[in-house]
Amino acid sequence: MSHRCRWTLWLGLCMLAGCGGGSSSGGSASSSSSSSSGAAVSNVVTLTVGAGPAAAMGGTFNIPYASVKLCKPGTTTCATIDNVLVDTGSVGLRIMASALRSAGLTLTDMADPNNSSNSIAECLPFADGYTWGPVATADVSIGGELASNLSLNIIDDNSSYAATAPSSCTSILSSSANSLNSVSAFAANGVLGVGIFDQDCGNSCANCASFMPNGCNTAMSDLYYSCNSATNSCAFTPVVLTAQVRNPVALFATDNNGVIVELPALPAAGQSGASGTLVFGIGTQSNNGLGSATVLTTNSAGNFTTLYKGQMLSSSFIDSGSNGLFFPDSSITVCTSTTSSPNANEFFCPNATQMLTATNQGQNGATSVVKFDITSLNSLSNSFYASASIGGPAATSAALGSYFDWGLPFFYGRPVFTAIEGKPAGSATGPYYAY
Amino acid sequence: MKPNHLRAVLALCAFSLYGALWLPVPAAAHLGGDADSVSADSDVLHAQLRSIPMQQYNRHDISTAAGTVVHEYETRQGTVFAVTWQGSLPPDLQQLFGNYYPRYQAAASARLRPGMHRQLNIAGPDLVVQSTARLRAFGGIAYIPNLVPAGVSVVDLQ
Repeated sequence: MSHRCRWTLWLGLCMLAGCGGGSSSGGSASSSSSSSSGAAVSNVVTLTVGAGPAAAMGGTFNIPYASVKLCKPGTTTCATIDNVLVDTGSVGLRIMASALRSAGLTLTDMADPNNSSNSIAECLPFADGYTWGPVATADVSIGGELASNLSLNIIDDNSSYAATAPSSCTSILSSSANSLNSVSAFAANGVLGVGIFDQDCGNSCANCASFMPNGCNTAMSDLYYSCNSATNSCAFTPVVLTAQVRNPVALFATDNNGVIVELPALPAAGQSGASGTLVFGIGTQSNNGLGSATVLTTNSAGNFTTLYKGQMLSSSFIDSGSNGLFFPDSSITVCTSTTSSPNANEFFCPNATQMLTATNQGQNGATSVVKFDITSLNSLSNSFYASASIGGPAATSAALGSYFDWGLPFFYGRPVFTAIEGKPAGSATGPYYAY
Repeated sequence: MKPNHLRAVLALCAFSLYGALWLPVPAAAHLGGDADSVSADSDVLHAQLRSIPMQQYNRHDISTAAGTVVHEYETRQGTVFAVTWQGSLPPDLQQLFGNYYPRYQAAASARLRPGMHRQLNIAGPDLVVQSTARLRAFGGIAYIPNLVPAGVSVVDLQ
């Protein structure tokens, strides 16, 4: 499908939604001295589903964005980065180096505590590639909340980091040697991971010396590296939990046990965009109570079970970073890929709307019946960036496990709670999802 | 007993002595490679290797130091027709895919799309790859369709 006109259209939408305030709001970052929260409750930040940054070049839908303010630790030297993808399926703040540069902010790379001439960098594997860049610290404000001295990841999309991605990142750690170091790869200036963990990697990246008698070496699959810029050399290194890239929410002084994503219900045909809120904390203020939401506790990997058409999908999850509902159903027609749209077969294209039902079941035994529709991707207007009925096939096998990925379409019209592991949140303790 | 079991035992012994007695094996192909390639994989991954004869194939289980579990499935004719992996960190896919890696890489890059890149499905005539990548949960299966023994259902491979 072609999305050439989307960018122009989004500018109009942006004015309507008030996110530009009359200023030119081109998706790149800009310095800002004013808070966007105004008189609103301080634990809330605006979410916008729209075209994203200019460099995204269209072709995207169902991606929720927020603005994040970063300051050099302990200073008022700050920049606000807009169009940061809000992702309940990952953990940690990752910002494109190019966006920081446009905003005029330079952050200091985190020094390796075991070797002061080195800095810490991270290689993050994805299903089809990897990101690479240094770890840095910043005082990060989102809405009215502050995470001081937050470890975050700078994605080195402009080759400003002197240490280049080592081969163990580009070919070994990553699922493929494809760099995702670009605004266009994510359709975002960064990723705000507010999922169910505190750190992005956890013990696997903190304790590698426990197995290898001589400490870490290349035998270890790890995400973190100690890099020497002068020699452009990097080696795996353990990083203590507190220094790993962390969920900013966990570092807030209050409202630090999870988030709520609130997006409005949509018409069946979808909509040009959507505006909602990301609320911090669960059961900590008058605006973030669980109410009658069903709590689905998860296993340590963050999964619950979805029962769908006789299948028990035991690795299911809710993920604002997925732009569709992805689940195994070979009876629904898949779209035909074309040269201009090589990924169309990752989505469903049924002739008629599929009205479907699934049951989610938490580790705690709580169950919830969910009704949802799947419509054809081809029926989505090119000028629409929000749809509650886009889905696609998910593979399932004994090796892969089986899952229902409840992506952003699930969020429209129902507040979705994501509670961080180990944290009491309302009537239950994370990790859990609730809605 | 197949010769590769002897190799597997040797590999295990060598591993337990921390490489002191390790005899180098050719770093041959892996997916599509022979039994030697399994121990080569195990060596590169610094992992423990256990081999289990099944009715229609041999299964080689590799546990990497990071706790990721890799299974390699070898036909009765001695060729690796499938590999699977699961763990909190991904394994060295370049090693596991051997000569099929460039093909995989090309297919994956052709499928780049915006967003969080959490699943990948490649269904080529000579290589099928299905993988998921979420923080702390990486899993996947890759197989060569025309090498899968008759009667083996790939969706049932662990």
